[in-house]
Amino acid sequence: MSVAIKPAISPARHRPSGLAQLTELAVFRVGELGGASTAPSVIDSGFAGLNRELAGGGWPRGELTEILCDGVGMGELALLLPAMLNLQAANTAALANLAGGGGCVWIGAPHLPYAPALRDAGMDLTKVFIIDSTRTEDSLWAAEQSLASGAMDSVSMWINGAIADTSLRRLKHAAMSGGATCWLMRPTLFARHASPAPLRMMLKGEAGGELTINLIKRRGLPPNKTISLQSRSLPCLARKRLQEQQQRITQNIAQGITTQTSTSTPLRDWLGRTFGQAALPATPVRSRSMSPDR
Amino acid sequence: MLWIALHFPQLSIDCVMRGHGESLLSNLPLAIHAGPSQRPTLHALNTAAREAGLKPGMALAAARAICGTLTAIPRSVAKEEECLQRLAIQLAQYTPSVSVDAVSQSIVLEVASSMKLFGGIGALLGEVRRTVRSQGYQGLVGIAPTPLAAQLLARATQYHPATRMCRDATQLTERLADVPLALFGWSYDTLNTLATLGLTRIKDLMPMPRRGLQQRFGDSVLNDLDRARGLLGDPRLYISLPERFSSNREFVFEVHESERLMPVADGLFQEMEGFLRARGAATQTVVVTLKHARNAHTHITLGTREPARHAGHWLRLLREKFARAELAAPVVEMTLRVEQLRPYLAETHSLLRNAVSTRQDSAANLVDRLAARLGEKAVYQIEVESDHRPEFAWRKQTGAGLTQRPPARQRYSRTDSGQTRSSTKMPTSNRPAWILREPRALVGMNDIPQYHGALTLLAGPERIETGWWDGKPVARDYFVAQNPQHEVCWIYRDYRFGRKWYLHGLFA
Repeated sequence: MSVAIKPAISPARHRPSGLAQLTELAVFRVGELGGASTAPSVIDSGFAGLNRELAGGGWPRGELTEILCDGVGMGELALLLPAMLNLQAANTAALANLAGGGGCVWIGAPHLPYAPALRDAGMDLTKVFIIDSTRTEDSLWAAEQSLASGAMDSVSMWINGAIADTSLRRLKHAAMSGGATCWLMRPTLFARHASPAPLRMMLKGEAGGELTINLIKRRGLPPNKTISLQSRSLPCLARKRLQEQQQRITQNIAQGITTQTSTSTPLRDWLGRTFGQAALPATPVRSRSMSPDR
Repeated sequence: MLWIALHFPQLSIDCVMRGHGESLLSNLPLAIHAGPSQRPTLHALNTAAREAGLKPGMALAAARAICGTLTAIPRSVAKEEECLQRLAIQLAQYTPSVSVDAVSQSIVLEVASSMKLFGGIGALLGEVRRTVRSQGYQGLVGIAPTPLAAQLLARATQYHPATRMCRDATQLTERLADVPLALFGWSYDTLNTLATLGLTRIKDLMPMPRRGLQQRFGDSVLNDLDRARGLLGDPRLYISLPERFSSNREFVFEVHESERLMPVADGLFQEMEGFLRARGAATQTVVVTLKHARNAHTHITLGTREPARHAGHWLRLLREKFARAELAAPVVEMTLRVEQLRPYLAETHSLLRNAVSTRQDSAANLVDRLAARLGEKAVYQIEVESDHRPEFAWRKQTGAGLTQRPPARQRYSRTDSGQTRSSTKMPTSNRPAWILREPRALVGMNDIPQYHGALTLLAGPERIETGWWDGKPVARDYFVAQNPQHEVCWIYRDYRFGRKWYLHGLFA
């Protein structure tokens, strides 16, 4: 099912006067997602599919956003990287690059961020500050300091343990006062807990590098839809996706049914693929013509 | 020439009191005693002691009889001189011409040349007074075109509060007329003879024949009079600033809580700031030493990314250190040392009033604060190194210079002129975004590596065999693999040493 999103009327295009203008700007109508006029400034997430579902069309700036995901390596970083790049690019444009700005802080990351990969993604590594922290209170303190200082544009933090409601509120307040964006990564266990964050989402990795986003809470309309994104663009993942589609199609043709199965990989298959690497390039070429979306 | 003189009538008591905050000692009667050890007499008293009925000059034994709770500390002239010297160094931030007169317990500053910089004599005087007060001294101020006249006016404030400033040299004689001769510091005999002649003030001495005065009292009286009025030169020896900074505060009582140390530390840091301003310098490292009983010490080293001298910033760093650890033992003395001076780089103000310079400054400050509390090693940046071995293809950057690195040249062209990119196509990288601190050995079942389930190989192998020359050789085949949870892993098989599977990174 899909949501009909009424685009908010931008005041520039349609300029009513007096009271009408006031209501245009300040009144939030139930049933609207909220356009650029009602939402605070946002950061382009880099994913059109995600932007459509977020109030204002992007990650809220100067706010706390909760991202709930279990496990590491399902595309959670790829989801945030375009936004961080956009923040850096915006700073470059504003001539702020002369002396800083666009800094991002990573607190309590589950593993070491790998410099070559970030460089390849286009990140300016001089703007990335990494803070090792294992204690929740240290992480929260560091995040609060970084957010409130106004020196950093974004803070990404990973906390596995429970966080007191007051601490979350403090984070939110610090983010608002410093104008920095805070992405808080937590286990999905905490989805049931209440949170002051205006945007909460649950991530789930899918086959072929796809990422399913389940919005739990957002400004404006209640969320009722899951979003699928192709967040990671590893060539091998694309190949894998093509393979799976090809497999499915051949199965469908052979069986004449439309089910989506084939999750278990038999040992022989796997060995074949491991040691028959030379044969791999041939398969995608053939599958490209067969796949329906190319 | 215009001189500001600062006279410290309460110097001996201030030297002791200023180590502690207002609250701790102000209610306790405290006296400084001097004189022969057989019969010490009171030299200086604090307000509480004076209210208890004690008077300077009283014998210590008599004072103890009157006030049982009196704390008496022997006077140390050397320490008083040292205090004056330190204050003078701090005042050198306002003018390079600072001179200490230890005999009359005063400091004179020549300010005619630096007055304009600080916004006039009024503003400058306010700054000087604030500095003196922040160090816990009570100073009397006199301003005059000659140093001696300024000193006389400062000391005369006790008798005539109205006349303490004279900026015009022509009015100097008139203004000095009422100053008592006793303030000159002449010998007792001279003053006594003058008093019996009925001469007690400068105006009484003026009409006297100079020849007669010279015959009776020698040159000193006439010379001092002439110096005060500017008729005779009065060269002063200016202080020279030391290369290093070191200052301490001794406590009369042991201090148990770190919170009690903060006002003292604030004073020390302000003293340091004054010194650094006078030197036109800043520093990156400050060592705070806490001395405990029985000669035990605690050293606390504070460091910043960029040379800094603002007292408030250093105090915040110290506060973070104290927030992490309790005092090991009660503190009896606190010392602050600055070993290395760095040139001070003033903030560059932009013509366009954007937040650029202030932001950069606070980024460095933020990193300092974080590192002070979480440890130097916990806050770092990463850099790319050119090495084929994945674990050596990057390195950590900690410590100084963290926020001073030039921005890296962009490898990938962005959309021009700040337009943020919509519909991003992430540039591909064959390296994972997360790398494990140590490669993790994977359990293999039937030669299939397991990580949260059986792994399916997606791409590879990428063979990396290098490093034989520096003793850390690798011989690995890297694969991209996916597990049933759809986590994409970067694994390798050591094809030479044991043929085992390892997890090295995660594509996130």
